[in-house]
Amino acid sequence: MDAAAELTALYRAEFPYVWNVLFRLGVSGAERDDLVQETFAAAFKQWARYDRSRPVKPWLFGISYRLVRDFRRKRHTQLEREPLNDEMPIDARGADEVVAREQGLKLVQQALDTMNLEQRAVFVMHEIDGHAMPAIAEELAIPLNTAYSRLRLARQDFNAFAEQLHTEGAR
Amino acid sequence: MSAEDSEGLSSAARGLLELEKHRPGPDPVDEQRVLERLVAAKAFAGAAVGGAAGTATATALKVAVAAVVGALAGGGLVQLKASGELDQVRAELAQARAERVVVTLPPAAEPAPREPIEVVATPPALKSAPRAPATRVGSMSEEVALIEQGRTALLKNDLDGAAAALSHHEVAFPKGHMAEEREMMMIQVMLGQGREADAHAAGERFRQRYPKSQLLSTIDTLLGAPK
Repeated sequence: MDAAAELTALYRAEFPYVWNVLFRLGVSGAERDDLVQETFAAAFKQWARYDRSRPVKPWLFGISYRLVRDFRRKRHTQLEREPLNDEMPIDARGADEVVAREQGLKLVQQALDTMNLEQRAVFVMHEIDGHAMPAIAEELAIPLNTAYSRLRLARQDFNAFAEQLHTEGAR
Repeated sequence: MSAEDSEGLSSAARGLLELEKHRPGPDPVDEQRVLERLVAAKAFAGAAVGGAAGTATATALKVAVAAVVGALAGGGLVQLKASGELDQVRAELAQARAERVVVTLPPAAEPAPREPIEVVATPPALKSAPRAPATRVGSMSEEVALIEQGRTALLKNDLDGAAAALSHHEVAFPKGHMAEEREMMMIQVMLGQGREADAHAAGERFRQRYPKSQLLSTIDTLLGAPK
């Protein structure tokens, strides 16, 4: 397989992952298009030097994370998120399964929005993507203890958010 | 118990995360849109230089990469500018022909019911030789241009203009690499003209012809969308 075909295969296989990762890091709308493009453009540039024995998803996550971080630093602002659909008020007691699922996904995003980017990245990588902590520390270029510390703080925030929902739902 | 689990999540939190783990993926249209942008930005070109196309001129390579990406994406819409400023491309292709540049591109990985795409700049004598169906660089550019013309017209809600460009494509490239896009856009034209029954019939034909097409979900959305 030549390089162009390899890159195309990489794009086809990993586009959904990168797309969702950026959303989970708080990027949506046109900015998500931009950053998905930049993630793959950067990955393509590095591909010739990439160690193929390493799992590709954490590597792509690391690229995406750094792009989001740099983007935020440049703009000095929070990235915009698509507004929640006002026609679908959040109500965990919704009878329709699809609606309930939609609401649940929005709640997860709200919970992630309470975290700072650094904690959020570790949390998403570990709790959603299931990557091991040493691999996360390596891809994010942080000490392992720092990674654990961020995970602990992120879990506290996420638990608090879920607990609040539970309390409100019981009222 | 690992250190990761020592300060775990509540059951409510885990329930939410389970939902997130199964978040639906992007629409194929999203994938296609970003792909077009990558091609336009020539993101594939640098890495391709060392590959099988290493003997191609830079211009031939640009077109080749656009072609393979378009084909592997299920015949995706490659923007006109992605194939590299057509006038300049055509001029440089004349030179490439003189050099008899031949670039053989790999077959599509999936769904790929097509022949391997050959982007060939051949002297006239070779064109009549028996061979598998091939797409010349020039014809690929023309095919892309027609599809792009149709898409632009659709965006402007110029349904007649879109239909004309797409019909032209159908005549010139009945089994072209972008036939799927053409047929999807024709369905959009029919819907825009209020020809619902024709659009549904065309959708059904598309499903039979391209049962593994990535555009099927988009077509289903088009046909299922409320008026």
